[in-house]
Order: sequence, then structure tokens, then C-alpha cells
Amino acid sequence: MSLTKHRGLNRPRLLCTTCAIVLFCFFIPAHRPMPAEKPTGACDPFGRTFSGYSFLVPDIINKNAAYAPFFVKWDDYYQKNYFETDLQRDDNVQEWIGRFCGLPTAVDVDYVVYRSSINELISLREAALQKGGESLLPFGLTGNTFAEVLALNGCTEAIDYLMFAKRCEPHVTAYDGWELPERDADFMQALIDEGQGRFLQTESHFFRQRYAYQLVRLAHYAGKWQETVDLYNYLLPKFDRKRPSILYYWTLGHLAGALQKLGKYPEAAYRYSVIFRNCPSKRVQAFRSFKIRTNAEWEAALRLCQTDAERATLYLMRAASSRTYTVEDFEMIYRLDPGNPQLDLMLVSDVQQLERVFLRTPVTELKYGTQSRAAQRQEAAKHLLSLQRLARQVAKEKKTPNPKLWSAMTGYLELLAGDEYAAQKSFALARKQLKDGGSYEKALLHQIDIWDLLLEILNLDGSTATADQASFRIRSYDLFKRVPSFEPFLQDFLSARYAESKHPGKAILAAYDPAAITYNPRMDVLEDLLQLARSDNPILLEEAMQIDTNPARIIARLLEIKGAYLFSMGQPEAALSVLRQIPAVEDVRMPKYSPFREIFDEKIHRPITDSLLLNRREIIEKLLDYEFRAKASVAMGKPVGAWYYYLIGLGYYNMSYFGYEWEAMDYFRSGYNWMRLPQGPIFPLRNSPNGNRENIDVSRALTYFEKALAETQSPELAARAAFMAARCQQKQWFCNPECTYKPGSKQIPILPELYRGYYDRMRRYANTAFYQQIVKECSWLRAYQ
Amino acid sequence: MNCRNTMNTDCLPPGRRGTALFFLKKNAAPRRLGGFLFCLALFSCTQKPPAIQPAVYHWETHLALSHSETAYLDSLHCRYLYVKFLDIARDDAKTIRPYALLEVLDSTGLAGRTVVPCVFIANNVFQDIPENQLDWLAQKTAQALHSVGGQFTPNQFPEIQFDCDWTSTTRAAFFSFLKKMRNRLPEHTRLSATIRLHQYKFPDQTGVPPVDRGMLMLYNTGDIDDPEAENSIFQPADAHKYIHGAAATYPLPLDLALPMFSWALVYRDGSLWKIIPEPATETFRDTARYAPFPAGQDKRFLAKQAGYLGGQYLRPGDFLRVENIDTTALRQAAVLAREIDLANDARLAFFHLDHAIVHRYPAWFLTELCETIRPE
Repeated sequence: MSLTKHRGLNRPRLLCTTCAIVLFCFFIPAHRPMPAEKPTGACDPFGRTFSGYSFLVPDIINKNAAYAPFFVKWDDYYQKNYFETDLQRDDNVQEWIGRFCGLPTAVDVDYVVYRSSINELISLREAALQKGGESLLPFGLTGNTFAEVLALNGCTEAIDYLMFAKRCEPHVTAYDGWELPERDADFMQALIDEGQGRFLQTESHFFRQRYAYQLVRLAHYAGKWQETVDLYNYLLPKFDRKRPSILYYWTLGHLAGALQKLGKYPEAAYRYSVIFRNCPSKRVQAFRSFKIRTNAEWEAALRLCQTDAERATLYLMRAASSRTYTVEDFEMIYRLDPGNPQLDLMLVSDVQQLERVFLRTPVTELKYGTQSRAAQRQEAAKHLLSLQRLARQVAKEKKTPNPKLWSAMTGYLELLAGDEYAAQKSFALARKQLKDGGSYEKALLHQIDIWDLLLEILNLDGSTATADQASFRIRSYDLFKRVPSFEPFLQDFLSARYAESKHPGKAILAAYDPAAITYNPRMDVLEDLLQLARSDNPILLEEAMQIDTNPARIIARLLEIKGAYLFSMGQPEAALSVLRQIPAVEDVRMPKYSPFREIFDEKIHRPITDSLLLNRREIIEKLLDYEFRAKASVAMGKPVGAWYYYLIGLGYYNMSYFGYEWEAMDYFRSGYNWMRLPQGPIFPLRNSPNGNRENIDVSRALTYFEKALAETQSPELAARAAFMAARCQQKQWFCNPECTYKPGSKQIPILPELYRGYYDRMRRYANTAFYQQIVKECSWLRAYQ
Repeated sequence: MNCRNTMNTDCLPPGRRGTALFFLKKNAAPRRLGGFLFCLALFSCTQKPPAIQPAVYHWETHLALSHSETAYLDSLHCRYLYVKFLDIARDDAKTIRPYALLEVLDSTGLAGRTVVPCVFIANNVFQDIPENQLDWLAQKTAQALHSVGGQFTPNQFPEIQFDCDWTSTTRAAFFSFLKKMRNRLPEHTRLSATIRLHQYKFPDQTGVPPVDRGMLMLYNTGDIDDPEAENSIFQPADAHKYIHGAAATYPLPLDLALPMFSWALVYRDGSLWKIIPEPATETFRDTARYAPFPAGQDKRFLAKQAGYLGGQYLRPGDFLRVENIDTTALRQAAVLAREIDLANDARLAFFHLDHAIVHRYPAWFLTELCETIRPE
């Protein structure tokens, strides 16, 4: 059995669903003020994460910029295009191709360097030693352009190196991490010794550098930190490094690792920063390994820098460990290295963070259960102002590689700061600067189009009907449809605006499913929607025409919700006056119930054999009639009065949360709330700004059973009334915070005396037929006798 | 109503068992009374549950118990050591990776103690994970346990514990993983899992892991993300909310874990930025760098100057909340723990062992906590 039921919207399924859709389509997203009770809390296992709305498009920066993954995030772009790419291997292959004048293809180099077997390399060497050896290549290398170049030119030095590297590889391959590494330190040392000999015998500086890399790496992987440093210092000066090579940075990475292990953190950090700046294929590792522990280490690392650009990189790496950057970070890097391309990325990244803080409304927070804290907004506001100042300065000085971005971003920062007029002017200015530009300018223009549309949304006025019309128009734009954040943001924003403009009903429908108005109905919400439904609103009619041609049905539906709500709040007369406003043609469509049956088990489904079915209006009329009859009978001393009281009690009990006809007073019931009744009557519910109200108060039913007991002279009716009163008291105990019993448990607790009176009283009726029957069925009653 | 219900006084809360006696006395027929007296006699012959066994978590990457740590464990008569073997998490590219495989540098101090390998698995590992990858993960985890376990003598472990703060969206995958792990481990190996307080309170909603035993973590009661929280590690009132109203029995035999750690939480721009473990208390006496906030506070500070703390670069304006759990709070936790239906052979595990703890909490105090929970 499902834990939750939502029958109210299903019964007259067609009608209700239709009306709900009509309402939804018409009012469009908007929403309501703060709820009476926060629907999510620390204990709420359904707590959701919300990363915020963003109106930045990736094209405004160079997405392929190697630093980008560290500063900006765009869905899974960098996962696919950066982290899942073997940059190291690609770069290495390119360096080999460069060394051989671009003759071999990348695929062939990759095969020989990374995938060939040692036997193939031995055969290749033999081929290289013979004139015309390219025709003697082994089968696996036949047609391989790189192997042919090596064989044709007799490059035995290269092949010897490749064979040596192949032997080193098993000892220096990063194990997959699922096992502790098992290194053969002796063999690795032997390789280092052999490699040093080969290094000295090798003439080519290209291969000397590669031998040096292999040896330093072997020492590092063998855990010989000092030897790693010594080898580096010994080997590096012994070859020419005029020609830039990624191998230098790879080797430097192993040196930095060894230095860090030796506790030389500043020396290591400085080298990692050099790698980060210059070597894309090792940038991730360098960033992750960069570590400074104290102020003194930071100062020491700064002293090791030889240029302002290197210092700027240190500042950059320090700043990048935070989610946000201070303007001081920006200023320092800008001062040291204004041409640093990372500045653009830092700016975009920072603006991404600011969007999270400022592009949200109270509705956003209510919906996602995350509160932006006042302190956070205050700090962010200060930062935003400082960043605005800096952006204007950078845009004006034009020292960065891309001042147009800074100029456009100035406008967006103004928008985030709430200065929409200034933003509009800045966007117009930025557009002028971008006229007749190339592809980048087009991307930036596209970005400004998005921001302009955002401005249009921010200018919507929730107090007038024009907001409805404008939101329909905005939704029709292609641009709107292409940016995923627009729709949810518009919903939240409109909802907040409607709420501010005293339109709580429109506010709910703007941001939530229409069913949200039924979970814990509010009079102001229903009144607002009724007013709207009764108004001669062309948009409403226009939208309604798409689904249903009868707006009277919408009004009837709203009246039905209002009536049910008043009924559940113990105001049957008020409810009746509301329900009587439903025209007869709609009244016949209203769902029907049968609440006056004696059903003694704890089921919440009505048996299918009912014959007497009444809609809500008829139920209330019946209740009021019973009450009239009861009072009249009692006054005239007729015993039937007690029976009427009993029937009223039965009706109220059956229509409560615990009864089979609960939906006569409610639209949504969560079975899970059984487990937390003392927290009620309003329980947290996802997708509902006000939570879910359950009718767990059975005191009204109990009062009528007590009246029946007081008036009856029939032991049989007294037994029935006492038993139902006992059920009411049992439910009241379940709702008591002191109750530790979990309904549904197979165990029977001891009821406190205060709640056990009617169970005890049942003994008086032990001789009745009802008692004899019910004591067999009810284990609780049996236990308490 | 409740026609299938049966009478069972076991559901009475622990503090109200006397009421059950009253209830039976008042209502029982003579024949029932005879039965009751028989049960009473039987009960009086039954042994009390054994004393709670102290245990300690080791949660670092290198294992080499110092002399003082070994002596501490000896004084505590600690026979069980829960040792983290590895972490499993997703990297930036969302690839599942192992981290921090344990290296045993020195096995001195382990003799005579039972090691329980622990595997911490980040919850996001199980987010949207396909079934075939769960097989792979189970295989890799077993491989890692085997590799790390090879450093111990003996390298057979009676129990293996999995620590994952699963949620409704990851529950099915985590539970499936546990089942797969069971198939990959020796038959006699007992599986256990950590149970968070919300999982303990809402077993119907969060599920019960398919393991042999649970380790209920009686801490992390507060909201670590909230800068205004009093103490996210343990607040008796918060813990009480979880314990109170929970079912009288949890579907698994339970051990209990209590916190013994300290950390500084750094909030930047209003939200949690970093956690600095075990900060030295004297650090915050440097008034040039840290200002109590508000004035007079000894646990909350504002960074006045930029600078490093515990390897993190703080900026002026960063807010720090230093949290630990003092002996009073630990005693309150122990008293509260009496309301939990712990296993007969329950262990009380302290999280976690390091040199600072040895000085902060004397061994006799931890023994006293064990006795508070279950008096001998």
C-alpha cells in the first residue's frame, strides 16, 4: 500500500485535473510568502541541494583554456573535455613528432612509444642497424610511419631509450590505487645505475633529458627522496634545455614531490607553481599537490620566485583554493601580471558565485530548503561593490587580454547589485563596442542578449495583470527556452513578486504544482484565486480555452477546496455557505463520500459496497440536520437523540485522518505522518510551501460520542459510543509528544490512565452483544480488559 | 481494530518498565500470575548482559601506535581497534577512486587486539551508479582490503565495517553493494555498518543495511553548515530528539560510537569552507590574528589577519568555530545512551585515537563512560 494518498484530485479526476491545469496554465508561475512551518529541517531525509541559477554562457571565455577547469564550472564540460583526456600522453606524442620533423603520425608514435612490445622494439633496433632496414620491420610495425623513420635513419639512440623506458615502466606506473604498491627497490636502483651510464653515453640532448626524467622518476617512486633531489641536481645541468620540453616540467614534478616529502614545503610549492603555470599536462597534479602550511612557508615560496609572473601564479594558486576570491587577490595578480589570462577566468568564476547569492528570492529558499544567510549576503554585497570598482578599472585600462569581457561584465555586476538602470546602460555601451566583431564578439553579444532578457524579467511588476501577459511573451522567446535557468528563475521571481503584491494565490501557482493549494489550504490564497477566476481576465480565458471552455468549473473547484478547508477547521456552517455557492451543474460533479458507517478496523479506504453517497455539501447538511434532531429529541426526552449524536461522532471520526473517509475533509494524506503524529497537525511536505495539514484532531468526534453516552439508555449504544470514544482517546494519545508507541507496531503499549478511561468503561458493557463481538476483533480492547 | 496485535510489554520505554509490573499485577488472573512469577524466577536466574567493551577508532593513513597510545589502550583494556583501511570517493571527474590506503608503519601495540577494518565510502559514490559498476566496486574494495590487510598478522578479520552516510537516493545501491561485499568476503566475516542518528530514528524511511551489526554514531547531531550552530559534534538536546521517539528496538544489534575529536570549522562568505582537525587551543590566544566573536567567546573567532592555520589560508573576516566535546557532554551522551537498546555484547567505540586524545580524556574516564551506559 502506498504511503500517501491524493484522492481529492483523482475522484472527479477529469474535472479536477483539468481545472488544475487550467489554473496552472493561466496564472503561471508565481508563488507565496513564507510558510507557517518550515517544510524541511535537519531531520528531513529529503533535503535537496540547489546550486543556484546562472545566466553565464561558457562561450564568453575560452573554454579550452587550460586553466579553466580550476576556475569555472559548466556542467560536465570539463569532465568530458579535460579530465577525461590524457593530456600527458597527447603532449608527449606531439613532442616526439616535433623531434622527428613532423614526419610520423600521432597514432604511429603513440603505438611505438606506448603500446609496442619489447620484442618489437628489439626487431626495430635490428632493422635500424641495417641499410634499408625499414623493409625488415616486424609485422606489428609494418607501415608504421614512426618505425619507418627510426629504421630509415638508424636512430638506435632513440630505440635504446624506448627500450629502457619500457623496462622502467612497470616500476613507475602509478598503480590504480586499489592496492598498496609493491616496488622492487633493488631492481629500481639497478635501473637507475644503468640509466646513469646510458645517460652519459647518449649524445642527443633530447634523449638525455628523457633519461634524466626516467631516473628521477624511478628514484621518486622508489621512495628515495634525497636521491631524487640529488639525481635531479646532477643530471639536469648536463643537457641543453634551450629547446622547451614538457619533460622538464614532468621531471620538476618529481623533484617537487621529493622536496615535499623531505619537508621542504616552500621549495616544493614554488616548483608546483612553475609547473602549474607552464605545463598543462601536469597542471592538475601540480594544483592538487601544492601545499603551504604556514605564513613563513608562504614568504619563503615567494622569495623563490624569479619574476612577477611567477609570483602572480603563487597568488593565483593560493586564491584558487577558495570558492571565492577577494578583490585583493584580483588586484595583486593584476598588478603583478595584468596580462595573465587566468584573470578572466577568475572573474567569471567569481561572478558564478555571486549569482548564487543574488539571483534568488524568498521563494527559491523556501522551495529548496536552503537559506542564504544575512551575513553571507552582507559579505557578498561588499565584495560585489569592490569587484564592480575593479571591473570598471580593468575595462578602462585595457591591460588584460580581453577588456571587452570586463566591460560587459561590469553591466552584469550592476544587475546583480540591483542597479538595473545602470546595467541597462552598460549593456548598451558594451553592445556598441562589440559591433561588427568576430566570433568571440558574437558570443559576447549573445551573452548580453541573455542578460537583457534577465533584466526584462526583473522589471516585471507582480501587482498588475501586465506581468501575466509579459511572462507569456517572455516564455515564447527562443532565447528563454535555450537557457535552462530562465524558467525556474522566472517562476521563483514572479512568485515572489506576486506575493509582495498581495496575490498569494497567484504566487503559489507561479512556483508550485496546482495541488499545492490543497495540501494546507490558506484562505488568503483561495480568496485571491477566486477573485482572479471571477475577474474578466482575457489571459485567463485565453489560456482556459486551450483546456476547458468553462471557467465556472474553476470557480467551483476553488469553492470546493475552500468549503472542505472550512469544514476541516470545524466550521460546518461557514463551509456550507461556501459550498452552496457552487452551481447545481457543477455540484453534481462533486465527489461523494459515505462517512456515517460503523467500520471498526483501522483502514483508510472506504469499502466499495457503499450505497449512501453524499457530497461535502450534503454531508454538512446531514450533520447539521442530525444535530438539530439530536437536540430536539433530547429536549423532548426521546432516546433517539443519543443515536444522532453517535452518528455525528461517527461522521467526524471517519472523516478525520484516522478514518476511511478522510478525504471528505482533506485532499492529501501521508501515511508516513503516522510515525510522527505529535509533530502535527502540519507536517513537512516536499513541493508544498505550507507543508501538509492532516486532520488529526478527533476531539470533536469524542465530544459527540460522550454526548451519546450521556444521553443513551441503551447498553448496546452505550457500548458502541464508549468504544468509539476509546478509539478517539487512543488517537489522542498517539498525538501526544510523550507517546513512544509507534502506530502499526505489533506491540500494545500501556495507555496512560488519562487516555484509558473508555477502555476501562467498556467492562460495564461486557454483557452486550456489541461487546462480545468487538472484544473478539480488537486485541487492544482485549488486552485492557 | 488492530486485530492481529498481540500483547507485549517489551515496547515499554526503558524508564517505564515498573509500570508493566503494575499493569500485570492489577489485571492478571491467578493463572497468569503464576506464569508471571515463573517468568520472574526465570529472569532472576538469567545473567545480566556483559559489560560494554571499550573500543577505539584509528582514522589516519599511517598506523604506528606510539608508546603512550599503546599504554592508553592497555589502561582502557581496549581489545578492539576499528582501523580505517581506505576511503572511497569520486574525484573531480566523478571517477570512483580509493584514497588514503592505510600503511602500517609499526605493528607494535596491536598484539592482543582485534582489528576491525573500516572502509569509508562517500555517499556520492552510490549516486547514479549502475549495477555492473557496483560489482566492480565490490571487487576493487575486496582487493584493497586484501592488500591493506596483508600488513597485519594475522590477516584474517572477524568483522569489517562500512561507513557511508547513505540517503534515500543512494540507499538501494549501498545496500546492494553490501550484499555483494558479503559474497566476496570469507564466510565467517561479520559485516557491520555505521548508523547515523537520523537513520536510527527513521529506519522505515532510510532503510536498514543488510549487515550483521550496526555502529550507532551518537554524534554529529548539529548542522555543520550552520555558522550559528552551538556545537555540531554533540548537543545533548539535539541527540535527545533523535533518540526520543525512535522505535524501542533497532532491527540490528547495535554498538555505540562516541566522539572524542576536536575541529575548527571555518566559515567563509557565510558558509562552511574548511574543517581544520585538532587545532591547538593556544593558536587562538594570538589576539593579533584572532578576535573572539562575539567578545568574551572562547570557541568562536573572527580572523583579523590573513594567514595560514592548519594548512589553510584564512582571510580576514573568516569565522571560526572551535568544537570539541568535553567530559560533561560525554557523560550526558553516556546517560542518553542508556535509552538505546544496545546489543548484549555491545562495544563502545571512541572516535578517534590520536596523541591529543590520550591527554584530553584519561582512560579511567572512558571506562567510567562504559559503566554509565551499562553498570556492571
